[in-house]
Amino acid sequence: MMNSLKVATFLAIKSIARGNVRVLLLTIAMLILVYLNLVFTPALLDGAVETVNDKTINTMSGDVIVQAAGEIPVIGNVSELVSQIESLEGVSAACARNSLGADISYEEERATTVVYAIDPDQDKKVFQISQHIIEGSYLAPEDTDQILLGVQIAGSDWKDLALYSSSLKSVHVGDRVSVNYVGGVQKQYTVKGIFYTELTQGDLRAYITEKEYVTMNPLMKDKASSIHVKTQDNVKLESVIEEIKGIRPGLKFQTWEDYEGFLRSMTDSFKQIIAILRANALIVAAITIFIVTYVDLVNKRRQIGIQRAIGITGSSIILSYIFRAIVYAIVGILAAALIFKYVVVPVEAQYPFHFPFGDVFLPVNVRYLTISALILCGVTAVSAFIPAFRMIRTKIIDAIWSS
Amino acid sequence: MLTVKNLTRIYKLGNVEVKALLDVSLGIETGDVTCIMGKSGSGKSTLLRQLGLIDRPTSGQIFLDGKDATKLSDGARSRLRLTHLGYIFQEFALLGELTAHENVYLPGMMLGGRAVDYKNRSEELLEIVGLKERIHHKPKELSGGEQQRVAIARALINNPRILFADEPCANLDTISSERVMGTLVKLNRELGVTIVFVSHDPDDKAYANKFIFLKDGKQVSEYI
Repeated sequence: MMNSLKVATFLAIKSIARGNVRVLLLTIAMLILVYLNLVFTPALLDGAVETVNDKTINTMSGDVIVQAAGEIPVIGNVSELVSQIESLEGVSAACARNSLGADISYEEERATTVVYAIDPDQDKKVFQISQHIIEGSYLAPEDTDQILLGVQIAGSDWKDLALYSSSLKSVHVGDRVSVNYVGGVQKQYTVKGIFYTELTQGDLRAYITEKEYVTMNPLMKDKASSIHVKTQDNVKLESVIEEIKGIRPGLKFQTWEDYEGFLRSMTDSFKQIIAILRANALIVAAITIFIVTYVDLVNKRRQIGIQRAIGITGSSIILSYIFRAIVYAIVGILAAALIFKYVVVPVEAQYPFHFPFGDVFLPVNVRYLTISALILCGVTAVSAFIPAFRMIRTKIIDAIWSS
Repeated sequence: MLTVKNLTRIYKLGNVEVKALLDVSLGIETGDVTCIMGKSGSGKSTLLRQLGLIDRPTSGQIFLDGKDATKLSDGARSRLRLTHLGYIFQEFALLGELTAHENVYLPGMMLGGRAVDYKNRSEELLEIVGLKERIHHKPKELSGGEQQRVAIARALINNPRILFADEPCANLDTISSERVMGTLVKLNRELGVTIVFVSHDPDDKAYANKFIFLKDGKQVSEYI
């Protein structure tokens, strides 16, 4: 066996070093394209999924959502609970919110929305709404007569918006809007800011301060309909949930994945498309290598016959083709990985693909790149083995004298 | 050493049967220089390929040191070719991506042993066949005669007991032919290698001490 390996390695090295340079370069070029094909589109969709998830977490849900489990959907002693949650290991911050269904009207236009009452300073620790202000400014804790509107509600004369037709169309900072809360309370607010997170669902919301909310409804002081928890990276959400349960029983929990709802079906579809594209890219890779090896074997049919006639074992010959194919694959993969990391990703970051939920950046997932590389090497080895094995089964006299 | 009994080889070309060898029997002893002669299409090369275990007969038996080689597996026959037999092809049959030196020591590498031993042996053999200065040349950089001598050196790398040569001078000029045949005879005399070669040139009779004449696949008593 050692002799077979030695001879196979020797033949593979000589064939690579002294074979046809154009065939060598063409094969490696094909493998570069195959690997880029294997990683690019899935990476793009991975980036899209990541963007949707990040936007959901950072503008709508947080990592964990805590709600009251009883008939009255309100959590009491909220400030104490928020402090206790923030002291837990693995928790970065927490904030309380109250949500109210409402109709907003401006001039002749009317839109339905959910108004969230927030403590702007505390909310900023969990959410990034303040970073997405496109007009005006973010709320301050003492604001009472002011409202922050999502761009899909305000319209802002931005006719390209996905939901412009159902928005208030022309609301800008400083305009007065009328809000009719479910329950009958009607309030007039001055628009303090308009935000655009690029996630349509997030941009359909409106925000007022907790202080304004308590002014309307004093009984809701230190109460909230939900608490949103931001965790540190790589923390298991289940363990955080268990710890919160230990602080105060009788609450119910959702993770950001549970919260994603219909967005989840989109990301799940993306994941299915990624799996299909990966399988497709691997099949293309297998066929490419198979054809390259097969054509090479046909051209070297006589040489292989001679090798066998002088006593070189079939296993040595097959292994030499497998080794050679793997070397081609490794060179192609390394070149493609470098191109991907140092050319494709930076260029894409400079000119990102724009999706309805935001700019999508290509993630460099080393684990996936490595797995793809190993799978491609495996596929390459099998694709080289099959034609080589078939060729070895040809009679020596047919291989040498029938070509 | 090598005994053949009732060897028949029939090729099928579509629905047509070509009887290349019919009921051939012969014996070759150690140290013989045997010449298989006959006109084109008489079955000379077919017989040599059977003896060299490169092809399998349709029927009949080939005994090498009393063991029936026709019953061996492909792997065992491959091993036997590597360890006991050397084969020189009519068309040189060198591996184009390897140098003369590498072509010669490749079967030695396959057999195993220390690299320094088979590489030294390769250099010795190339010196014996007069190619010491050309060992790092690739086949395309060598003349036909030089390529054939590299093929002879390759056939000898594992010290075969029998060397088969299929019209080794068919593609060579007169001077190269004499040099190649002279090398074979020298190997027989000095190293005791048994040689079986194919020729259609009556002048080659001078190099042999035993003859097998073929006509239309059948063994005949003289070259006709």
